[in-house]
Amino acid sequence: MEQTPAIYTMGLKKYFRDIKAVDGVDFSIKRGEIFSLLGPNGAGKSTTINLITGLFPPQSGDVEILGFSISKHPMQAKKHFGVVPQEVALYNDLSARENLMFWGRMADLRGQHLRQRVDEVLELIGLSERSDGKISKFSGGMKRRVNIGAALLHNPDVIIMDEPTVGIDPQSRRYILDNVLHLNDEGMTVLYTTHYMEEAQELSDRIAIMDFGKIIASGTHDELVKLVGQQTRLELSVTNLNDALITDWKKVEGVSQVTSMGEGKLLLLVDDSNKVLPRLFEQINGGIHRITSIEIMEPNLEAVFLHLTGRALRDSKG
Amino acid sequence: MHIAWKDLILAYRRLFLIGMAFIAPMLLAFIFSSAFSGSGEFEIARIDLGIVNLDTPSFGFSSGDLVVDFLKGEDLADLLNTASYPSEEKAMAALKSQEIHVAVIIPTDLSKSVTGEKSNPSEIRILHDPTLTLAPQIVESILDQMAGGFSSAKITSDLAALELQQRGFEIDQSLIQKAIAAFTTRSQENTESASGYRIIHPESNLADQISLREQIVSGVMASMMIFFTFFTGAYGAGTILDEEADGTLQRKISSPIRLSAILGGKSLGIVFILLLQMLVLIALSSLVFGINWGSPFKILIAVFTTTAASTGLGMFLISLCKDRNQTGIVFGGALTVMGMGGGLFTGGIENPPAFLETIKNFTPQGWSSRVWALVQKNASYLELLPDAVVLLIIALALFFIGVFFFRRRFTR
Repeated sequence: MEQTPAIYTMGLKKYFRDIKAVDGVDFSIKRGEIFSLLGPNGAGKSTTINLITGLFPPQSGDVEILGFSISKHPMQAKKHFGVVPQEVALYNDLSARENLMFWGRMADLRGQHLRQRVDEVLELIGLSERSDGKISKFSGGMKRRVNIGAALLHNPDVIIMDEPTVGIDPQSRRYILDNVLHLNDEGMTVLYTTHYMEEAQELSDRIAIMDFGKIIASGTHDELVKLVGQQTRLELSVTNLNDALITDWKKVEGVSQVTSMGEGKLLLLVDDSNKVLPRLFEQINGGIHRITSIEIMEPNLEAVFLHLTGRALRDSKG
Repeated sequence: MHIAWKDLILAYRRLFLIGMAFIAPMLLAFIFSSAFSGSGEFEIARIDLGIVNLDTPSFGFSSGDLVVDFLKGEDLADLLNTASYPSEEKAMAALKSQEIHVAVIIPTDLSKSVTGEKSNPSEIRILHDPTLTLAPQIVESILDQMAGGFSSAKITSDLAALELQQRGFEIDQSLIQKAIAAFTTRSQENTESASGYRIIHPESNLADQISLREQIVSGVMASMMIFFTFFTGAYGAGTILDEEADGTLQRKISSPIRLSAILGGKSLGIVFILLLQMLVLIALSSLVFGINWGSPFKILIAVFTTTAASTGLGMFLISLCKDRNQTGIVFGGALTVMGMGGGLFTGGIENPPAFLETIKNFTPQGWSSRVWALVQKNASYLELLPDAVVLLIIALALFFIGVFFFRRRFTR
């Protein structure tokens, strides 16, 4: 008999006036899986998370958490997940321990069990020694760790993390990513949203790519990369880069996508770099442009996004 | 309950709220009461009094001199600092130059009126600096009691003469007038006389003034407490928007807890904060200013209804704000205007215009101020409860409208 999915969304829609923030999102996350929603800022990832966590109701569609509908049985559904919001959502004037005690009570923990869980979580996030320090005195990375800890207190079956590594130092980021993997090893299902393809690539069993409120592709990393086919990714730095050059290069045989990444950098998807590169040089020969660096890379999620949308993931404005 | 407790802890960790909840009302009450008493220790400041005695004696008796002697007497030396002026004009000039606070003009016919030589009553006039309220009241009170003494003497002498006439004695009117003069002089001079009659008792008069001062300080303290509790109510409700901006509200909504429980917890937190604020203010003001707030149970009624009203108005006003940036309008504008409308800054006006009383009806602060005034007057429950019930109804109406708006906002 097939196991009930950890999270199951059916035709989720949420419009804010004319803006289709989420426009018919369907996916199913298996228990014990790390599932990432990857997309540029404004793609609809956070709104999808807010619908899943019952922050506001959808225009249509529904979400089930371990079989409990978030609209029909919100209390039962909410008991099964913990949420790590994008922004640190803690009380700055309370200490780390006081914050965790409070959020534990919100998750219906009491007494000795609550105190024990707070100690365990403080240990897990590496802040046992600083537990009585006020959040306002913590670094950005430490706040993020408490932010995650607050979602783990009731040992949820599912943890939902909305871009938990935005704006933090590399060390804290590494710490968080390791924690995600550790939690998953312990059997926790993880729904992770990010606009960093490296994170999605490293963490995820499966990835759904979102753009303009829709899921435009989903699957394992390898399945997604196959969408690009045999194409190679070229990253070029060009002097005096302008729209005319981009238009010209788009017409070059073997080039399927060209997109500017700012600061004189271009990202291209090409069929065979050995054949395409001489043609590109030929195009600019005698002109004002000069190629100053070339990087040839295997297809990755960035290439997939470029292939599907014609835009670079890193600098896309949804 | 956990949300309420957390809010209480957070609130009292914020210096700003402590300043607004406790320090500001106490400080303002202290400043106002010092202004009335002339010093911070609540001793009644001496009144510089000018006396213009124009009285002409009647049957060798001068009521004017009697008034002057009494005002300049030792008994009132701690209260009055007197100076004589030859004319009303000179006294007016002294008033304008602020040499004196109050001037008493004794008319030419005072003695004639007292002895009955003249049938019409004469008028002693009190002129004063228009910015003063307490000093003229004190002087008027002293003169009222003297006038009472004159009347008693006249009534007693008239009755004695009537009795004698009824027994067949022929009475010379001039003798009656002399008797009145003598009676008055005797009774004014001998305050502890065998008759037991005392025209003016400076001690009791002083007690009256102290009572008046206490009344003023109590009124000011109650007004400041009401003003700042409504401020705290709005501040407490404002933390809902703070939590929305900080994401902690959304985090709560994503927890297995109902929105109604979250809003209930937030409201209960405001109630806790307000109860603590008012009880501390009442205790502090009793200790510092010696205010007698009245019967404990009536105080509880006022505390409860004011807490409800502050919470209700806070929830209502904050629910109208789009985000926390707009709450400044509530704190800086709406609450101040409503406080003014509620008469919290105009309590010192004697016989306020009718429209001020009408405006009071439209603000919860006005109703709260009425409830507290009744409690301080030790009014009966029959007098207190109608106003308290109106305040509670307003509180509940505002609260539920506020909660309705908040619910609508967080569920779409």
